[in-house]
Amino acid sequence: MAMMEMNLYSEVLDLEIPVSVILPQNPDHPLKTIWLYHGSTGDHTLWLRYTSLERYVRERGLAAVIPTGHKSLFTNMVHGQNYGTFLGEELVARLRQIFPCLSAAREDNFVCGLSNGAYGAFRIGLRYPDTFSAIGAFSGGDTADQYFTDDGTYRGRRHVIVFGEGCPAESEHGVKYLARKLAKQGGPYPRIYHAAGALEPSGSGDGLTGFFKELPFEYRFEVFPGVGHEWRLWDQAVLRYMDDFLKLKGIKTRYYV
Amino acid sequence: MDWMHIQMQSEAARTPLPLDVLVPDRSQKGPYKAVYLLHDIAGNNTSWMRQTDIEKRLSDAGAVLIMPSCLNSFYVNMYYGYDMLDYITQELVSVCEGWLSLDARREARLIAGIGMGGYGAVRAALAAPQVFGTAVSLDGLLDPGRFYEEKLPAVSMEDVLGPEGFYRRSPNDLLFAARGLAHDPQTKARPEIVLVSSPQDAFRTEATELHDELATSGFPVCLLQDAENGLDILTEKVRAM
Repeated sequence: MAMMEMNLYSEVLDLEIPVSVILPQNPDHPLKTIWLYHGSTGDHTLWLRYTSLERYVRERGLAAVIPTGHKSLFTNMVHGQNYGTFLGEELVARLRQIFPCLSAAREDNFVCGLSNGAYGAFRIGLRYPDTFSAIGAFSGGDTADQYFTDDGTYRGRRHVIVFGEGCPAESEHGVKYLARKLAKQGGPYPRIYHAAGALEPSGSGDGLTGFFKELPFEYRFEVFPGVGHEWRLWDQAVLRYMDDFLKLKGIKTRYYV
Repeated sequence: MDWMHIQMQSEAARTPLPLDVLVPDRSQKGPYKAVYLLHDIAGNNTSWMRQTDIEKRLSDAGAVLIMPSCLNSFYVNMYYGYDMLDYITQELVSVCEGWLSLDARREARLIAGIGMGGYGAVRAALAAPQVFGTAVSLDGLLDPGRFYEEKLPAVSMEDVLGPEGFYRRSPNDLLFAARGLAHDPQTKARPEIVLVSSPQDAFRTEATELHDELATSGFPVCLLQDAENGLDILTEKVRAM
């Protein structure tokens, strides 16, 4: 495998954005690609630092792309920039231009993320269903389904920067809004794998379990016992997503020590 | 250009090796020319970016710039050490063309280097004329055999090239390699060799000698002496590809 630390210029953001990419060294076919989003306090390095992601993708012959979304929550910010457009459109197109070995087929592209990156994975996956065929959401839900106000706290201000004042649930920020919109137009439906830790507050599925079951999505919710909102959970969940949910087959690999 | 730092596992050198790559911006459509840039002694994959303005010069040239790191190997298959020539001429080209949108014709591949990298560029082009269309040497250390006597601070030429007598009868001696390729009936391709010497070049005599040998052997070769700025020549060469 090759580990690549890229600096890509984004026209949408007018900014150089760091992106980590893992590629097999000798790709002999279009590569299935897993796109991974970090949480709201993280960056593109955390998936590599806190999980065995490189080993997982190596053992399955995949490519992995881990962009930085900064503090955008992976959406088009009200007081900020259009990270949603960057992640769902520009980044995908640019990486496929640079690496023609990446498969452009919908069925070969899977998005996932943790915490607010899970919200990002829901949002990007539902907003770009022709690009991604599956969503893995670990420890997150419809972040936009709340009332936001600049109450003087850091959290309040951050949310207002992203979503503006008020409740953005019934807008392009909203997971349920995007899902209903997709259902109205008849798909295509990304398959959804939703995971949470038994010890975290949103361990119940953040209100989405009942919601998705009433729509024509393939939706699976799984609670991991003994873990909370932490990397021990996300390291297991990404593996479960790849193996049990996406059924990605293992390949023979050689390790370097 | 967009910049990527790559950490790859070299099967040829049997070690992880870093690599820096600059790709044209998205307004330039592939497949792109490939320019391999080799560093000097004591350098690495970052040297070209840190010590030249190569990105600015070639940002609109429709070329991918590939900057490997080969330690102080002189880019040869070392007598005691790594098989860096195989890495450069085979594996590096193969992996980059597997990942990126690169024009795979030999005339779309140029290899260049400064100092030790200039030697490495010519060495690679003579070793793999079917791979590289052009080699550009900027003040190349064109006869590393000189360092058997003039010792380098931290590199033993016996380790890199073997005993001197062995080196003089091996294709790591560029004169020997040129003669060998000239008389090889199997290989028709002849890379263009551009030898650039600045007024400070300590290997001017060797550059002239190599030029004459290559010219006699029928290679397209040019020698540019007292060049004030070798990077101008390299830039023009890449643009003209």
